[in-house]
Amino acid sequence: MELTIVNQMLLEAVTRLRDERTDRSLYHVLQGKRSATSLQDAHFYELEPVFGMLPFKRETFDRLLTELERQGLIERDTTLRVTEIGKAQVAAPFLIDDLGGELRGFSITLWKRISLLIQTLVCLEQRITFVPIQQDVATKEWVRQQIKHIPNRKQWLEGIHRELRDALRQLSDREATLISYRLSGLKTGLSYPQLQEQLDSDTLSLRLEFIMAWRKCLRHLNETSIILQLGSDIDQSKMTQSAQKTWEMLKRGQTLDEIAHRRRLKKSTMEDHLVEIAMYSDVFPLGQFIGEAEWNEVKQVVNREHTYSLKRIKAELTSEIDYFQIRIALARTRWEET
Amino acid sequence: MEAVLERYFKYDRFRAGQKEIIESVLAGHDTLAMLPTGGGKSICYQLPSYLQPEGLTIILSPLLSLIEDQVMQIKSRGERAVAKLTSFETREEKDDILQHLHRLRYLYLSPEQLAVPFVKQQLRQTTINLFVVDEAHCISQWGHEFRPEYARLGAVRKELGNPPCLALTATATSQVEQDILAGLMLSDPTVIRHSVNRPEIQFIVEQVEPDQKDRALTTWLTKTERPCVIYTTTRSEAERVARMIPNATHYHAGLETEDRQLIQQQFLHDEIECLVCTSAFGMGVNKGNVRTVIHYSMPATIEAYMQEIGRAGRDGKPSTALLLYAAGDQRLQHFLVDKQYAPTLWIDQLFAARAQNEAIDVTEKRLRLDGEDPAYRLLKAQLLDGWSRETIIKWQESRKKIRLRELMQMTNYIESTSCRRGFILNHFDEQRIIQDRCCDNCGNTTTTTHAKLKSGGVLDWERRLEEVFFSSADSV
Repeated sequence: MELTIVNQMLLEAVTRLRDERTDRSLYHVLQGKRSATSLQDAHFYELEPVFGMLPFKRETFDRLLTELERQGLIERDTTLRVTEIGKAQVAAPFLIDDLGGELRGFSITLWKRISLLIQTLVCLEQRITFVPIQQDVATKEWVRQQIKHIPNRKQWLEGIHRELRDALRQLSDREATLISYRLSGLKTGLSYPQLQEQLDSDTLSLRLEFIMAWRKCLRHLNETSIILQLGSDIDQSKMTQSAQKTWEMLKRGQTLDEIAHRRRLKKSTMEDHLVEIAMYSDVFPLGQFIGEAEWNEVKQVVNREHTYSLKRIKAELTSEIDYFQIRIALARTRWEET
Repeated sequence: MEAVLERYFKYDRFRAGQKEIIESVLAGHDTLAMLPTGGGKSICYQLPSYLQPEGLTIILSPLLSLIEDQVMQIKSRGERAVAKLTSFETREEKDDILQHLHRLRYLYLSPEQLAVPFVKQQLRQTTINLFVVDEAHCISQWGHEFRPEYARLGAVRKELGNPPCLALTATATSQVEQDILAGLMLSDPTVIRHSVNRPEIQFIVEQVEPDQKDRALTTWLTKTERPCVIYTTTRSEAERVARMIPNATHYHAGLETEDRQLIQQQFLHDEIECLVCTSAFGMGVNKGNVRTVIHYSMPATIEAYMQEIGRAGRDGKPSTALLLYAAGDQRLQHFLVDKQYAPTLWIDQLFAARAQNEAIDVTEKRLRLDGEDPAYRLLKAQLLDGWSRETIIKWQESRKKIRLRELMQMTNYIESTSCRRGFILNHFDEQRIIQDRCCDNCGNTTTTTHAKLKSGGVLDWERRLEEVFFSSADSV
């Protein structure tokens, strides 16, 4: 069965959820909701690459799942589950691993910047009025600031053109087409519905193909290229700002109680922060939260039962380990493996 | 004045009616101006600001998209002292704007924002040169686009110390005109009414069998000039029709933001010849050379029709407005009218909940009412204003009747066998006129023999990349 790219990706994502999470959980991960649960789902179930990368409207998400269901590839109960037929469609290399959600929208932000900067400079050079291709305030403000620092526009444009052309030559024709036909300047980029006919696909899949192509293009650029330089300040950290603050204070030697008191955080919020730190930080004082024996037991249960469901793990444990400790342990298993 | 027009707006002369309106505004008179769509309304309130030493021009506008477009256009002509207050701005952005009102020349707001006490309070402390109400017909219950929030604008203007007011609308019957004057409490107003007639546009209606519409459209496309805008009622229809026509594309509010911007830009730069869209397209899109506006299905009112065909021929050159009609087209419009008002079931449920003293937010959740649904929003506003069940039902019934009457007028236009231009002028209480290139009923329309629509070329990414950066754009 030939699946569209968007459906293939959804199927891969559902498969990784191991029949343990609901469609709502998946929806939030795809939206990139920075809540403790969604961050944890993305981390535990290897869905970091899709985090925030398929921000469908609710109706679209439902429609796509219904499609997969009707094709007999998934089942929707209290949890989302891939069927045997569905499983047969999923094999490495997985498409979703090319989306780059672990960089928290880095490639998309960089695209917005580059595309608006090119359009603005080309149109200023030629003195033609234009409709800004990007509408979000942050990008527009960034471009406004950048323009001031580009003394020789003509030269700059020639440089960017060369960089793009050389990088795109390393890509397939289809990938290069997707990128050059989305750019605007003297010619205006094409909408996904316009490209859809010529590239024989659907708009949602094309958007995902575009992201993958753009990421590939970025990989073919030199570290010192103008394009990559323009993205050097984009925030790629996975930790929420609030958790980062807690982590900073911890590293400065403050105790958990002090931090909670100072920042007026509830116990549960502090725990969420600690789980985030355990998930994303290369160092973590695991011993402070869980003993060696307990930590080993959690790992054994996870491997034996092949699960990340807190409830199921808790039920299998013999020693007294609370949910917070289980979460911390799970968060660190990823680091142990690598 | 001409020097200012040239310097800031890059026009060498005023269009009919503009100068009169600006003079009235500069003299400090309350002014009601009726200019046809495409008549250059925005210059009437943007220009005076450059002739006044200080002070803020605030502009009330009913649609976010309209505000967005206007702000964008002002910025693109190099004016930075402009801001907007809508539901899009964050709290911080709003605060920042309100703290620095003295730095601004223009401030756009939705009527909802003007109702916010803090906004009013800040505005009271600044000098307001001009209080502009765009699309002023929204104030009239008899108008086709009545908006309850507009009804309070008169009172708000008083609270702001009665700054001079300029009310603008494209189309108003005399009933609506009276409502605007009273609603905004204009004192001794100057009323400037420019004819709604657009002599450069010829009117054509073709009645076809429902299954022959596509064929009729294709035939007409070979006989009319482009660029061309085709209006449909629904999004899916826009998509379907666009697929049918070579090198056409669709535009509606369901597109992603980036795609919407791309299409607007393509259209402005003559990179597409045919745009198939819903009424979401057009607000503030300033393109002079649209030659033809085709309605694939009937609009709801004559006013809306005039608004949409007004996008043709803004450069003053001969243009065409064509309407395709098949028996039964009214049904969809009927349905849309019904959808705009809350069903009796909701009214009963909400009143029952109110009798139990349930908070409205709780009721909303329990009944799963969509806070974004205009029908529900309207009902909620009336409920909170203390309207009784009977008043609401009666009001809704009378609104529906007005809408259906308007739809009937549109049908009459379609079925009319006498001069169509005369029919429209009569609708706006104007005298009929006789002219060349008038309408199909007068029998003096012109058509062209046109080359076939070009289809899109072969994709070649490397050439395309060149074209984006360097070579000058060939028009299609």
